[in-house]
Amino acid sequence: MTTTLPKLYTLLEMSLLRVENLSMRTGGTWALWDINIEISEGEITAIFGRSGSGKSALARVMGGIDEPTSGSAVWNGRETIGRASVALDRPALAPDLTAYENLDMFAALWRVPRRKRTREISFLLELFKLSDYSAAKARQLSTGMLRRLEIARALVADAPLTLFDSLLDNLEPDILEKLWDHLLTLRRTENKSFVIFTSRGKIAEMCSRIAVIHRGRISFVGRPDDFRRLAGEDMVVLGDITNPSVKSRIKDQLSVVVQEEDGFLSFRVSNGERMVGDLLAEYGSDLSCVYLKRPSLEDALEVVATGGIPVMANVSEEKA
Amino acid sequence: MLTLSFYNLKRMARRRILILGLFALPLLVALSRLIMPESKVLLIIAWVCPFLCAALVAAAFFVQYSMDKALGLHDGVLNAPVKEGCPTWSSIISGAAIFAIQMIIFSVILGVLK
Repeated sequence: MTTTLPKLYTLLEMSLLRVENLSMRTGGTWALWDINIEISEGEITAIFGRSGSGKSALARVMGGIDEPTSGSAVWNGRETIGRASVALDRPALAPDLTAYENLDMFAALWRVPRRKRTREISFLLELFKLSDYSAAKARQLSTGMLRRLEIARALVADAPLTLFDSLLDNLEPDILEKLWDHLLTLRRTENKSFVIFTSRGKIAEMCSRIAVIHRGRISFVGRPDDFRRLAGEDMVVLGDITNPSVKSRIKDQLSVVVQEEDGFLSFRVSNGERMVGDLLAEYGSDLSCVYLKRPSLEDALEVVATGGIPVMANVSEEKA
Repeated sequence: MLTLSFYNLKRMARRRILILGLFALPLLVALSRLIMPESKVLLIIAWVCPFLCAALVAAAFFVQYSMDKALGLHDGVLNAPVKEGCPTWSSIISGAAIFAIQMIIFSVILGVLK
């Protein structure tokens, strides 16, 4: 007993939120099945999956809004309620309160000190381009504005962990960029963690770690690049090479299988960007076009969805 | 809970017609008693008035509560570090505050009658 206690203490210190063997049944079907994932301090994690894969259900359970059917989501050994702030897919805003009042109400509920609250609300309204609408009632705002206000509502809580349920998917690029800078600042200065639920590969690959959810199960946890490799390597196409000696030199130089068709050479490599750079440096004048197709995270997800590659076994076996 | 109650009241206060109706009821009943103190019908209405006020306030806040639940506001509240019954109790507190104002209006005017 004396030897196991310090070990357990260390384990709990490392992870902020632990989801263990979590399953959830809604409407007669299992929305989540045997989910195991840990969120550490100062980490930005993406939960990547298609629509209907169970992202929202997981976000709600991780935020302590819904109870799982079995398993648990624990915050350093305690309940998650009041620790992880969730920006919900369906904005949780009072329609008859103004944008400012909505943020103020939730900041007060999260016990943010009044002075900090005022400063933070002004900053977030500015960040999400809502300063001109701070006195407008929520029901008067457009869908896009409501989604931005919902993200601001989650951030104003000043919680150690913030979850964004699919809200970043349709954000304008300039606002997304500003928000991302803000998240990175919060991670660096306050060691805060963020979990981004998304169906867009471009957002998922911005995160240091992704967990792929498919049909309510976590099928992969790791780096985005590792997941992308499930869809195969980068494809490089070199076009219209008129000089036959150049063609044969390129073929000889590459240690991969090169296919030739209508004067085009195509091959697959793990690091296409570097390869294209090297080839352009050497044969730039002889190549009329270079095409690099890098598999996206969506391509990898397609592979998982069609069963082309078995899901990684980081999840425990299916329950009896 | 008090924060939520305060904002519940603020939201209710923005529904001008509803709030005017809620305060007009005890006012009109008490004024009618003041004008016609001998009327037995008005006496019965005066006795029933507090119950009617309570029922109307409860109905108004129940509608607001149900709307908040349906629209998802409660999910946001339940995500915050508040107790599970917070949305319910804050509605009850807000309703009690409006009922108290109604009864103050009612009893002050009836006090003039005495």
